[in-house]
Amino acid sequence: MSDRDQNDADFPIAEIEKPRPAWFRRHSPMWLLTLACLAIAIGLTWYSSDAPGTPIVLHFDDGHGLKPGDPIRHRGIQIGVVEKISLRQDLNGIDVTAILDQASSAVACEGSRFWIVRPEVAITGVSGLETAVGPKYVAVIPGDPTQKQFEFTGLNSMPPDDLGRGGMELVLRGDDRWGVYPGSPLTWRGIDVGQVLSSSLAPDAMHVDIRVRVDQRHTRLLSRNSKFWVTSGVQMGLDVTGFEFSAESLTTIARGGIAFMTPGPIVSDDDVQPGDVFTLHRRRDDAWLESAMPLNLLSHSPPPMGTVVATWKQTFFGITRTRSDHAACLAVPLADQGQGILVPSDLITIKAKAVEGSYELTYRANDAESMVDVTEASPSPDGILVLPVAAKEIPKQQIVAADRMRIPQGPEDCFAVNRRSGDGESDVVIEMIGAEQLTVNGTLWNCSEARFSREVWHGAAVISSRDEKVIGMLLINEKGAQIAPLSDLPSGLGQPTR
Amino acid sequence: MEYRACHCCGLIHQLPVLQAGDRAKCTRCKSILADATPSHQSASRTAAASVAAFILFWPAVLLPILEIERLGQRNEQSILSGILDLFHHGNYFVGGVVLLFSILFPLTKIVLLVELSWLEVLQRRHKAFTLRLMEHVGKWSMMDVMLLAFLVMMVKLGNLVHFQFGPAVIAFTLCVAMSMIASLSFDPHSIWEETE
Repeated sequence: MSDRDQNDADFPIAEIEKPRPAWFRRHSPMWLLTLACLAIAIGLTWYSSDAPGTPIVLHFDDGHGLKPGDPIRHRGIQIGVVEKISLRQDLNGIDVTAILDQASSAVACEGSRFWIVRPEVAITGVSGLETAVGPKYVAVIPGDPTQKQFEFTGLNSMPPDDLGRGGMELVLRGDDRWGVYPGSPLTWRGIDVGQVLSSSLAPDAMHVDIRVRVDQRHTRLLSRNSKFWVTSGVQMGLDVTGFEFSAESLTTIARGGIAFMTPGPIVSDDDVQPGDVFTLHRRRDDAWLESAMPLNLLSHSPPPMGTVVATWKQTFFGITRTRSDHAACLAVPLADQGQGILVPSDLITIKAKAVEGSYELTYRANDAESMVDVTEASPSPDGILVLPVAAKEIPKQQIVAADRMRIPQGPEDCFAVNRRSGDGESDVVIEMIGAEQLTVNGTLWNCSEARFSREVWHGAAVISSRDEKVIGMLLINEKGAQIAPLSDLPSGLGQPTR
Repeated sequence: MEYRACHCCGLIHQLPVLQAGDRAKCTRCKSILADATPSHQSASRTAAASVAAFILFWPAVLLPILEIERLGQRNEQSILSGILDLFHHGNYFVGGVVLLFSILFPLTKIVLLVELSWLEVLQRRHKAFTLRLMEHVGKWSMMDVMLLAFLVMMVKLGNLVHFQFGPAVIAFTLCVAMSMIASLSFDPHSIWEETE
């Protein structure tokens, strides 16, 4: 014991450090970290556990090398995955079990058509090439989403109408197929206006029925006495005048094609119904072309258009420049016998950037030109607004009659109409816009058509193809083409008609 | 009077009685010899970290850790499904080694840490045995090494195949960190303290 005491003296005595604040030491803060870790673990598990999808069963005759794990795609994105593939009991086909993603489970509905995409190389085009190297995939066209269905019989190949929907389907009956294949173009004076969907033997085995679809936008070209003829292949002739060679285009040489035209006079009320049968002629009769009448797309004269020009001065890094912008506009009657002009509101909102007092808005129609007072104007979110203009400033014939305007119920087939400077009929420019190209976005309708340029089309009137009344105004801005439908007629402008 | 060797420089000190919150420092190298933290306090810290590691271990092993995409073919693998795949293809040796070193040993280590931090319940002999076992097992748990392997793979394979890490990588990284914190914060002296 004394020995140990002796040694004690040799060892230094450890230093003492003062305590840290008590709150920190009372309980280990590490437990908070544990809780955080628990939260992370739960979060990760939740994140990676996919919402359970909708299982569906597809029956195919041939798997074309489809494997479990291959995707189901619609409109170019994956909406599901193939889980299991098995041979059917009777060895006559395969059953594919697939899981549709939760968000896409609406595809499991009656009328959905599935097919396996595989590479296809033809002279008219190459399709499904990605499946030559990558995985095969199952493509789908959804059917009616209200009726649920979980078992489907798959198609052997892509249905011919995958390339777009809508339009009018017709049957052309001819003596022979004449080299027309599904996918061949249907043309009107060389412009593609539709497509051949399928060809099959007519019930009497004496003819060939060819189903074609005319795009929605071009159905106005059809009439009961429209003539269809085959443009396939090459026509060669040798006569005293020399050697004649004619072919529509490389595609029609390879795959055939059908052209049609409507000899006049066109009777407007004999509507062609889907499924109507027309005769398919071997070749064109020149008499058809001669009797062709100008097909008036509009039965009324288009609304008179004016132009508004905004000029203003803008200061940019201390340099003041004069800028200008223009748009088409419509002169409209107002409630109290007054009148105004309907203009795209971005021409007015630009005033905010202008140097004080430098903004001017001029209205031009034919030769008339007048200044428009914009001090009262408040820009509306609808994209268009009405500015009152003094009565004498606008020529009478420029004002759109109140009964030529209407509030649209929703997107419909329509025309964008504009008039270049001058007032001749030939200066009217018209573009068809199908209802399928329009999507409602707030108060505006987005238009998927990209061919409109701001220079020509900004502010153009939009008229319904049904009754040719003005239903809105076309706006072209950095977001693309949009239609501002008339949301409320300037009071007294006319009652909304159905 | 209690003696304690400095774990850093080896100098033996007498340990005076420490007041709550005091810490004893080595006179030579100033590293901390002991602190007056009650043993249950340091045990609590160890327990917290090792429980966290235990929680995170499961998502780390079960959730997909790699998503490989090559020529449009997609494949998701977790550590466990990777091992099962190895077994399916007949690679029993490789599969067994991976199973042992990346699942069983790390799991044992974490469980032992949880057990050790539960000081009150254990007998002294049991504790000593557990501590020794943990030190042995801990050497062979290759979790941290595996993380390194993933990083190497990412650098090497970057251009050949397109792949990305799954959610398990986050759990895995945190699990490694937590088990390291747990074993670092564990003070072996606390095992003996209260029985002395």
